[in-house]
Amino acid sequence: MADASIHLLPPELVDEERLLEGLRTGAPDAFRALYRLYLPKVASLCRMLLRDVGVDDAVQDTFLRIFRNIHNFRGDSRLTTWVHRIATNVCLSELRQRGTWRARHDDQADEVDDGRDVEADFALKQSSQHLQALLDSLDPVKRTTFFLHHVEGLTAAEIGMVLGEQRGTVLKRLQRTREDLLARWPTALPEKAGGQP
Amino acid sequence: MTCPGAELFDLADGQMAVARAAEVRAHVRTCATCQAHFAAAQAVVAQSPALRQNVELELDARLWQALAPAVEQASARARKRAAWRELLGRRPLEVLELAWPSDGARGWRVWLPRLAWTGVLVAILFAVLGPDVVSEESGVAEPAPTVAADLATNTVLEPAENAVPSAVSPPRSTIATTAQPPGEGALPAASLAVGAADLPVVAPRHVRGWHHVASAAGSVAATPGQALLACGAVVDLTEANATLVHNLPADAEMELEDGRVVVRVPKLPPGGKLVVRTADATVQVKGTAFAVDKRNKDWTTVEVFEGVVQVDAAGHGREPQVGRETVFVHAGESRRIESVDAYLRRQVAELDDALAAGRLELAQEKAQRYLTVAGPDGQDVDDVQLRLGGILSRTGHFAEAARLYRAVADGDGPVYARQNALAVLAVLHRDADRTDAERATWDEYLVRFPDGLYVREALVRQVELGCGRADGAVEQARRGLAARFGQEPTAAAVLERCRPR
Repeated sequence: MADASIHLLPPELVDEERLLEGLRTGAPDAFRALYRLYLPKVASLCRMLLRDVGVDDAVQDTFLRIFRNIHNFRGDSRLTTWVHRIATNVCLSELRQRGTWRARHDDQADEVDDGRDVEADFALKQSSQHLQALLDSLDPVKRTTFFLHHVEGLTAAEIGMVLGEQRGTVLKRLQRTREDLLARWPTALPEKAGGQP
Repeated sequence: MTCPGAELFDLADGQMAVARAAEVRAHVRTCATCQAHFAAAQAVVAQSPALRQNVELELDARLWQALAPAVEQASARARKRAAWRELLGRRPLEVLELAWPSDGARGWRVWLPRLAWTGVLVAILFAVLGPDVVSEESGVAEPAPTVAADLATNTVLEPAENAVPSAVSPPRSTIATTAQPPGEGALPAASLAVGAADLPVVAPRHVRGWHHVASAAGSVAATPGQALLACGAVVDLTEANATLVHNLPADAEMELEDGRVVVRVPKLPPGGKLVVRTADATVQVKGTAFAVDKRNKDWTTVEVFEGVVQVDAAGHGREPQVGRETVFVHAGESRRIESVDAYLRRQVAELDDALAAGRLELAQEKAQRYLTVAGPDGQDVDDVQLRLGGILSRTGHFAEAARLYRAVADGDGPVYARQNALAVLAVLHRDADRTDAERATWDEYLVRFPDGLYVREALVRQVELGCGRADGAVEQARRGLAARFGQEPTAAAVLERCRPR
């Protein structure tokens, strides 16, 4: 299978200022570069939030909005924050429209908690699939917060700009998300860890 | 100290202050629970980057293809906007002076003409730039249509009263609906007993709560939400959008577009039957009570209250599939029949899952099953063929993979698929160290898709493959790469590294 690296620009090699200037003057190459630069981020976020349903539509919707509104980007935040904000809004809106905001995740939480034995858990915990399964069991906003911080490296303030919230709110949610993960992580359960402070 | 709990994540990813980190580490050494939590936090932090998923070649190209019109539009608007900025930016003071001459005068007699001037200028700007520019929203508020939304918009059914009789379709009567509420010109409750032969097709429309039967002679029968067929069956259409195909004493047939019908059928005479069809299933009964539910586009659910119902999956002539054979549903049971589209989508999803899990044999089986069921006109045939090519190349079947890629590249599928096929074929040659074949494939790519998605990669490889040589083709590739992508660092690096000697 083809190596994805042959067609994706490494993000660190694209200068944001030049890219924005190109977008403002309507250079087609700039749009292409923006697309290539942010497609992995947007696709990952959409896949994280929507799993396999409607991901392509959400990614397309995100880029349509980006292209239509790029002239309104004033540079008050990093471009990546702005792009993530659009992608997050698209995905959360899609989840709300589906009406599966809670139900699907509750189902998956049950699967994660009840469907595996300790041995399987131990094997699975080594893989990111297990982490993904745990994240799937969380509220979408918590998942977004975790993803933006731990995967995309955004600060709490930047996540606040993405979600339209105060930094303190983001920090509290991040804390609760981490607590949820620790509580659900198999070997982190006190009875398995075998001790108290 | 108390257990730090989720604060251990900060320790795990190195974001904790040094003094606090030392304190927490000391605690972790003595606390078994925190040791377990810390190990978990470290594992989560270590695995988080893996959640960033690689974008598949197909997704990249397919989306770019779909976005092309929007890019064109945005680019044109940006150029127009930039031109206006330049024009107005040169003489902003003159423009302002035109609207607001600074003559030091005061009072409405002076301000009124100035406001009028401003209005004229705004009107000119609006007319020239167009409402698409002036009315655009800032930020992210504007909802953009998705593929699904576009489809939904384009497939809205005509209201019954606006429908045009079809000249080619077989004559039918239609259980159509009106938007009028009961009581406003409502038709009296009556039995439905119209012959089908002379009735026009009227496009149905789903409106809950009121139904009547339209025929050439006008609306003839209705009860709110229910219809009585000639065979004596009572059909509850409250939530349905259905078309009556036959309505004879011993032979009734209706098509359920969407929604749910509940049918109670009396014992029919010998040879008699009542059939409800959906896109996924044919439900046939002789005397029973049942419901057919087509509220979900991906499946039909048949629920039987009395008697037995025969259910045949739609999609005749396709490969027999589990759950798609003829089944008999008994009283108290319900059966879900998956649509062909849903079946195919499931095959693709399971193919992707199998690929992600490295289960190539299963992935190959899914790909082949998809190709068998979908046939040559399947929506994702090209993508699945490309995936199958990838599987074959990974299992060492390079020749088969190359043949498959070549078939897609030379086929009549979408442009992005043909581009993808040629690009992955070139990469296949590269991985197999078939330099000449790779060069020839990129040559072909550049000739066939001079503005394609992988032009940069094609030019880069042409230059790399010709590194140190100074023949015409390499020089042409160098010039092309420099002119089109010379500003990009990776392209510039290749040009620098492969400078002609």
